[in-house]
Amino acid sequence: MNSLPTGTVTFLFTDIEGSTKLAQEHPDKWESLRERHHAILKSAIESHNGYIFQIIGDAFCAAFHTAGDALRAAVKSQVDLHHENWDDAPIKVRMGIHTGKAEIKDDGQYQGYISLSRVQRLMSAGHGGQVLMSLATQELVHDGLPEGVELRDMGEWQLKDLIRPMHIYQLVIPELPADFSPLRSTLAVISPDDQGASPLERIVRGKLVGRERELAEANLCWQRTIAGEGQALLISGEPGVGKTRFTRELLTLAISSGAIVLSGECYAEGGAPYAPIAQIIQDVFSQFPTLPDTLPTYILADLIALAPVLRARYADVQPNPLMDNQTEQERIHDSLIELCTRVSLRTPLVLFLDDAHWADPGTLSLLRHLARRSRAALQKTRLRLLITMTYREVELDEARALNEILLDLNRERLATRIKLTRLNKERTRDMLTVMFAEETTPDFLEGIYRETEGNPFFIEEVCKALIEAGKLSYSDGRWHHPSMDEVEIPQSLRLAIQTRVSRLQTHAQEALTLAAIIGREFDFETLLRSSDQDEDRLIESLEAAARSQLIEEVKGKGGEKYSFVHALIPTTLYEGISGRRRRRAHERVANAIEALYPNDFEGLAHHFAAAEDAGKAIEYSRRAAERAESLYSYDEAIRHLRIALDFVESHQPELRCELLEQLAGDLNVIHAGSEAIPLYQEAITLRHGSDQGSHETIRLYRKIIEAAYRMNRRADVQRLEPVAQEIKEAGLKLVEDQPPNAETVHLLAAISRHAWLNRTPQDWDSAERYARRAVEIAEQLGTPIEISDALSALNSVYGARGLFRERVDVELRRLELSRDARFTDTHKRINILYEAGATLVYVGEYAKAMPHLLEAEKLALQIQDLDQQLTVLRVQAHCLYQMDQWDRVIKIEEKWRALEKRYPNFFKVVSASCFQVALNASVHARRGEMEQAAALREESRAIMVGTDGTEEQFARDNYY
Amino acid sequence: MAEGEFALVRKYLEIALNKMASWVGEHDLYAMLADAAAQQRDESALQHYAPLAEELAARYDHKLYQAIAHRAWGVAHWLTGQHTESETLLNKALELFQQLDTRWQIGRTLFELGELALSRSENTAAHEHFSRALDAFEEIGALPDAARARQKLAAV
Repeated sequence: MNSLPTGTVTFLFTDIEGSTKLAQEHPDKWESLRERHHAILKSAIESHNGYIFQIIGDAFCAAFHTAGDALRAAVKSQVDLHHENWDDAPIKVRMGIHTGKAEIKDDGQYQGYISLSRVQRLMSAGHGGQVLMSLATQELVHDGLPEGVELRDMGEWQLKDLIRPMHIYQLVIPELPADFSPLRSTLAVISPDDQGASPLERIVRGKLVGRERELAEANLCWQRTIAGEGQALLISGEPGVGKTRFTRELLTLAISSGAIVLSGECYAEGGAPYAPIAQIIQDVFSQFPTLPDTLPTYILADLIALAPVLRARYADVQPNPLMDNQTEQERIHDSLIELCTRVSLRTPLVLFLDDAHWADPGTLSLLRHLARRSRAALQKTRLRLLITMTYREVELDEARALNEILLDLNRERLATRIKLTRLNKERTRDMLTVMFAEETTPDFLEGIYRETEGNPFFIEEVCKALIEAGKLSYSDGRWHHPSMDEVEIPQSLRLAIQTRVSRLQTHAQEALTLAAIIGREFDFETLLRSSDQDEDRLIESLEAAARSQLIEEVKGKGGEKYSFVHALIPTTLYEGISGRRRRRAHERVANAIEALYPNDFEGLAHHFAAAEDAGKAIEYSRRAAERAESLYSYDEAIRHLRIALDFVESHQPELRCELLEQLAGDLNVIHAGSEAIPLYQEAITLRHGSDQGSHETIRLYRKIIEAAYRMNRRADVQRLEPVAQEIKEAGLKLVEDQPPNAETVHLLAAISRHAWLNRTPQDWDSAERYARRAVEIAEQLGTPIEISDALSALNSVYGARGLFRERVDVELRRLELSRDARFTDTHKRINILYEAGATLVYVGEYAKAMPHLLEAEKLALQIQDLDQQLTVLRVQAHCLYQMDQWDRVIKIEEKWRALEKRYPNFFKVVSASCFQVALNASVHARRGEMEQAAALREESRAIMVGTDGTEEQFARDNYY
Repeated sequence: MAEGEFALVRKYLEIALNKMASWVGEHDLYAMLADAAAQQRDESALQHYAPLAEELAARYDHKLYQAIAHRAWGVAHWLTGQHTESETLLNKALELFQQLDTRWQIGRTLFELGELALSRSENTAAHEHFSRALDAFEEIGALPDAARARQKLAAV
């Protein structure tokens, strides 16, 4: 019986408990521990005729023809795992066994969503060392249990995301632990006879009702994803409408078809830039521990930059060399894409971002990039990736970054949108019927529907409030509904929440309010340190809140963490705190975080700002801004710097100047020069009133000029032209009497560029005058960086005047300067080598260009700058083609193909390859290899037209 | 290259003229347009593009494109029956290509010289040119051009 079972199949799913923590605590041993675990499982399963059809990280999915074999494999595995000597890192595995219908699809995967999701949920409910079994399997095995093995009836449990409760049994294996904590993530279905259960515990929560149509749509999206068509799925709706719940249903579906789900959460109180992405990366590293070893070092370095918590584990991985902002940001984005691609080649992948309206712009921009690439990659790689985001429609006005990204995704048809609306009356009745496990009365339905208007979370909270107020009671095995004329239903969701919280004891209310100051998710240590309550009292408070279903413990995140069950709960509590009290609470939380997590700059900036502690708010906002800048998350940096500026007082002009310059610099990077210029102007005004030297002022003048010619919008350029002119005049006047200095050179070079960049008509005479003056002063100074900058400005003039031979001479001079030890920027040096090569190519000096281009390629390879590597290869190929050195042209294709193989989704590869492939088509045609030539030419066309290009672009880049 | 294909090449190159990438100059495009016109024996296109290609190649002191422009003019003169001018220009082109050691271009220029000699019924000279062209094509592995040269040699 070696073939994959089909029809009625018994599934055994296993998972190591706390594997993330174990891997982090024992990084050296982890690989060996995993190997031993895998060997034990494999041996036990295969020796009992089992078929391992999937291994996801540490989790095994096995199928058996008979339930008895599955049972014996589970027993053998647990016994062997128990007796294995794990030293100080014991591996405990939870297991689930269920028998149900499942068929094999054409692609060899199981089709049988219900059976697979049941076994998955069953396994997830258990603890390490525990084997859970469904009733269906129990009926097949109870007469043939191995010697000494018993079955313990655990009763009926409502497993997360399953519509019907499951009757669960636990295997009791001789000499192995048999007593475990209550099942996880479950709600026991309370028997009508169980007198100990509270009415609140009796209601069944979390079931999805009335979303069949939307779920079918989401399922379709998922089916397309697993067929290799990368998708983005956007789920929107008002607060409380059930977006997260709905998405969980989809995620269960994905998991049951073998997908990996990686989640990132976003919070109203913000967080570090790319925090949700960091969570996702950590998850991948934990689920695929060997994957990081297969990544090129520079990709690993980028991933560590996004998820700094991994730094300790990969201490020997050096950060990548700094390059220009845009290139580096793109490379970091591409590194994440590479990671996702590699995972999706192993198994379908879902990236889930909950509450995306609170996501930082960097995270959103990265996901947009990923959505675009997954579509572009369709030509070459079948990327099985679904990006799922939930967001509130009502917050869109304030969530500018999300709004922009949604518009892009829609415009580019990269996403499917599902808008969840409120339940109608019939669906509200269905929901009440499910919650109370009995038919509801028309009067009760009418009253609930009238007040809640079908918002599911509101419905649930109102029912809980009524239960807690004793208006809705349970006795004699049934629910007793009040007359709706007699009860007061909270008029809003917020009031319903407030009503419920107010029923807790005062200390629990205080603890919850303080927790709401921390945020949607909070850890026990921070709360304890911020609170007046002692540990025991605080535990009691949190237990009471958990019993009231206002908070829940968050599993698998390390430490004791809690989360409010819905984002509206902390928001409501927060809004209910008066200003002074709120400030004090933030101060306490800030001090607690400062002591416990001193590197949580974003959290500290947030809380100290809310506490109105100016000094610390400025300090931590600057640090948070610097961290954001280091990750190229400029929107976040700008936000932090604006907060810092708000706290600067009038007697701190120097500090204000520094912040203004930093903020304007970030605005400049994102091409918001029109916003940057007034900030620079303000800084100049402040400098005039201080004793600062003129070099700082010259620098600020130069930055204004640079901002002016870097602006993207024509209207901004025109509007700010008088300012730029005024600054130019003032700057020229200021440098008139200055002895030669570096700032003057850079200002003159900037003024030279300003004379033609972004201008109609271009004033080349002025450009040449200022460039020559800059060169003259730079030569007096004799510093290579200044001379190179001035010459670069002059070279633009030569190019415009058609003085190409002169341009070659200047580039060769710059090349010489770049060999000076003071020239430390490798990226710039590669650029100069490339420019030297390219200018030589321009005048047909192909043989002279090649050594520079080869050196540039070597350096680009050293610093892993893929972009420059490809640019240089392209010009090399052009050179060799013109020299009729066809074999060498083909060799360059081999280099490029190797890069493509390593980074299949690197967009720049695609773009460069269009030219490269067309060139090779021409070489093959000249050699008479017409079939190859035609195929390459078609490939080139498909690359350009199939990605973001047009036929025209194809024509432009492929005139060969 | 068939008539239709040349039209396509011209169409692409003329689009390219309006949408040049930063590292592609107009001298690149006019050199190729003139070269394509010569290959197609398109007299009016040659009259249009050869002067432009020649002027830009001279302005940039671009040896390869100067040679291509000379060859294009050589073909243009041949088509209008000015055989002496044609021979002078083709030889100038050949000299430049030889300096640059661009084998395929050398072969193509020798081929044009062979054609010119044929049309002047100078069979010995034609044979010599086609033979040298064949050597150049074979050396670089340009099989279609080598086949054309062999055909011509057989005809001579």
